[in-house]
Amino acid sequence: MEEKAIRVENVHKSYSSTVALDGISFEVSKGSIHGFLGPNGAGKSTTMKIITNELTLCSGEVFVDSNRPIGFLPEIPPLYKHMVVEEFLQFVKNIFESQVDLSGILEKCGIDNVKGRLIGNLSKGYQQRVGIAQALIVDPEIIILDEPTVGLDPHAIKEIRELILSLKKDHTILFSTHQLYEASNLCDEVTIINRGKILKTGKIEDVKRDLVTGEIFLIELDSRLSDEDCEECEKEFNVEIIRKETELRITSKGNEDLRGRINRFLLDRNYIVSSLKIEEMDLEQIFEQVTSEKNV
Amino acid sequence: MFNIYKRELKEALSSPLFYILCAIFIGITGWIFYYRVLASKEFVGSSLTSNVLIPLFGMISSLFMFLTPLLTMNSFVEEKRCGTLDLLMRSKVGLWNIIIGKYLSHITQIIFMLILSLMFPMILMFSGYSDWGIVLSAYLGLILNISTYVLIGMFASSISGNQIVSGFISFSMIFGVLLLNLAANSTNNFIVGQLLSYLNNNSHFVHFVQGDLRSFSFVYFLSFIGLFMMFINKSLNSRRW
Repeated sequence: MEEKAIRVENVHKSYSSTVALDGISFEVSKGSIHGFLGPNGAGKSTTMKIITNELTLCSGEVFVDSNRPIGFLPEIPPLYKHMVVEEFLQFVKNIFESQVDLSGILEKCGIDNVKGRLIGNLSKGYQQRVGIAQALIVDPEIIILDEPTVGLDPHAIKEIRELILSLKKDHTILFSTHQLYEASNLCDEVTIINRGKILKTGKIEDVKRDLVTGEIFLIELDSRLSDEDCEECEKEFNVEIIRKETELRITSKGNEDLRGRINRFLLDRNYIVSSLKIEEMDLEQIFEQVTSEKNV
Repeated sequence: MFNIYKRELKEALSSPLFYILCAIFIGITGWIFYYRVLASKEFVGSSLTSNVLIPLFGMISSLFMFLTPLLTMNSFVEEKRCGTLDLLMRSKVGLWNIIIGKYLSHITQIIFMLILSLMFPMILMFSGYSDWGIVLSAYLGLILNISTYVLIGMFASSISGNQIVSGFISFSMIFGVLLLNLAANSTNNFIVGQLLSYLNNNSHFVHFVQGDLRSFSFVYFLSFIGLFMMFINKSLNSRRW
């Protein structure tokens, strides 16, 4: 069985009359990148603050399997704008009584060249890097990042994403995001939360497998599929076909691979298939499906 | 604690607000001193202490009723806004050390300002003034008295999310404590009067200015400091709820 770095069990949290978390449970495996997905106000930040002990929970339990402090980057990076980068990181290192090498962190986060500058004068991308550096300087085993790429330009997003990937070697990472393709590119595991409830959690492939029934084929023909052939194909293979000029989008209802049979069917009717591919259901669609009203 | 103290003090000393407040403070006290020295010529048979220094120290204490909220209003507000307070609270420093570190930093700033005012007794020294016991006792009183203002300001900053509101709350609370004196004077009941007078910081400060150190005044100031530190601790802890 895989070792777990964080285990959240049946956690409830309410602020006066508002229920923020309604009995959530999920696990983060050691050495994984765990994506925490959900719309605004879903309870992502509250969960992260509870794990880092910034907030107390009303009931339930949180187990963190690490003796070292958790490195946490909140949505707004906690930075003293009037301090110089190096001085700030030294301050954080001192208050966490960390023994980690400061110059190594500066280099890893790519802020070596701005270490002598005032934090307030840095661009948002660099400030975010300093935020990640303050999470690393505490010498953590577990790193929690709350929307680390929000509000950054595409170039900075790419760099931060690479930085997160490079951290995977030595750390367990839990991070929340709105950008779902980011989660599908980076994460090994994913948890989807909405309105304080966990909708799906587990390995990214398992979550996809649970949700996807049938397959989607995208076929491009040399000419438009006639109405009769379309109807016949739908009946014969029990599929749903959407035609757009010479392109077909075929959704099967079972798990059988129909590619070969459909290809033969089309060739028999003198259509030339110029391309045929399976459309993977991406996280975007999964997210839409599980957070849609009927699934809540 | 020392890390917090050092950082706070460095930030305060690099901000123009501190120097502006120093200039205002020394300008007003300098003018009062000059006025009192000139006026003292008219009094015959009374000392420089009662004519110049006692009113001057009284004035300094009153002046800090306005200056302290300006110094402390940002104590926790900015940290809350930037999320750095949560960073400090997650660290190994501990809440008490955060509060004490910030308190000592504010007191150090106040001491810097008070050191500037030392020039007035020193000017008098050149004219033969030598009653340094009273001067020391008055400065001790000032530090303890202004400590209460600092803690009220820090508490106001810990409960509000805006520095203007924080400054306003702390000034109102300082003024509220001052009003206890009026209430003490206007009551007919002796015990209630004594009680209200004991709760007012100025009635204790007056003893210090006269060189009259009383143990109950120390008990009052230390209790006040302890109580407000506990209030700040509770207020900051409530962020976790």
